[in-house]
Amino acid sequence: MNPNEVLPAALENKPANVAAEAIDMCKMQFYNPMPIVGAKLTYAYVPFQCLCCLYPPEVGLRQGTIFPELDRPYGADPVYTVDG
Amino acid sequence: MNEARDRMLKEVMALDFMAIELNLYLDTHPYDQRAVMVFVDTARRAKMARENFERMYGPLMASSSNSFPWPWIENPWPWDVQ
Amino acid sequence: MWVYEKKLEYPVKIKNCNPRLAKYVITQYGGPDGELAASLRYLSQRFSMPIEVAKATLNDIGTEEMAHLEIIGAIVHQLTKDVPPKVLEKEGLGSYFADHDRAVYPVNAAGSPFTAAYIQSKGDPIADLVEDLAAEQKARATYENLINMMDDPDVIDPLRFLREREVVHFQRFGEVLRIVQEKLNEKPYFVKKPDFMNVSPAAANMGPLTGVSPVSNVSPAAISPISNVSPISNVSPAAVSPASMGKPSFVSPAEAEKPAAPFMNPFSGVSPAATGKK
Repeated sequence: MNPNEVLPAALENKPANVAAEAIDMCKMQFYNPMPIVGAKLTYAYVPFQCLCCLYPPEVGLRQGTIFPELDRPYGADPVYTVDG
Repeated sequence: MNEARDRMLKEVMALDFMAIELNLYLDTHPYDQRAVMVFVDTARRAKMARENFERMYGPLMASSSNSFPWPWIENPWPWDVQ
Repeated sequence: MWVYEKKLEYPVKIKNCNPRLAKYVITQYGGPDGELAASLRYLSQRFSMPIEVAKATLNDIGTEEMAHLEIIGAIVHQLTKDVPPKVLEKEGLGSYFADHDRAVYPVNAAGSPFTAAYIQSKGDPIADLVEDLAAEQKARATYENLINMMDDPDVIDPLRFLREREVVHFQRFGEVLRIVQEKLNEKPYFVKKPDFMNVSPAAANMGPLTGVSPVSNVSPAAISPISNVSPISNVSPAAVSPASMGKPSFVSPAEAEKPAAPFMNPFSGVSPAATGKK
């Protein structure tokens, strides 16, 4: 299940253009992670997450997370799929 | 009836899960005001859903057992197939 | 302390028994990258964490791992319930049955019992947190191996859920690691002077490293090629930087002027930030 299918559920009551824009912003945010400023050698870094859209509770339970930007289903995301 | 129970339980699970997620998020983002707002809202809804469920199908926590005979041992344990 | 809730974090309803699958799934109960190891690891490491954020995260994730342990236990129990010994034997669970009947016992997929040697608790927050990051990835990889071997959607479904939780936990531990690193940089107590340098004050001053080379004075900002790239990130990196953790105001005034993020309240579908403005 990819975010495209899930997000509109959270945006049901919004005009189509607002919803589309919001989804675009969400996606841009998680495909352009924040730069890690002043990174030092010999340290490990994970970018900080910013609160963005949230899945509704039932969708969150089904996906295993309520954060679309952390939703990496096995077999769908090349970064998280080696042999799937 | 079993189906209705499952549906209500799933609602409790979903809201509790959302509270867990926001709890973990807030542990590392304690100054995120919007997340605190959503957390408070979620916790309130989860409490309501839990109370609704318990009224119909018995206690989810020993502390909410309040009838005779002791109802905590009555309803099924979560790992048993129902 | 803990309080028990009479429900699983994610529902497990397996219609068909299948001891073959149970034999593999049980490794996430008592195996090296299993949920028991994970919860013991985090719940033990939390005692020696230097800051509140780290204690809270280890405590809460360790607690969630116990819920995952229960889910795995439920899967194994439902997969083996009432299966005749002959069938268990045929599916490779004969030696398990001899010792444990159909009880749930913490072993790995090859049948070795759980051991605390699977985990570490080092007293060094960086070492512990990096281990936790690795542990989450190992658990995720194990879940993927298991999913690849399963043919029952009733089993795959909870495994998929648990796998995704590992991804989320990895993100949280990564954030904690950054906050801890930042804190340790403020007062570098982790490079304690070794005892042998305390022999005499004069000797300590003559250490070969006391004269700092000029290159090491380059400021991080000067090296960072892109400090202000992303126009869409509504929160400036400085604001989320762990350095600001100690300050009461999380959102800087400059940032409040920026367009609000497309934040969706999952219940109303309306952005609270947006409603506040209009």
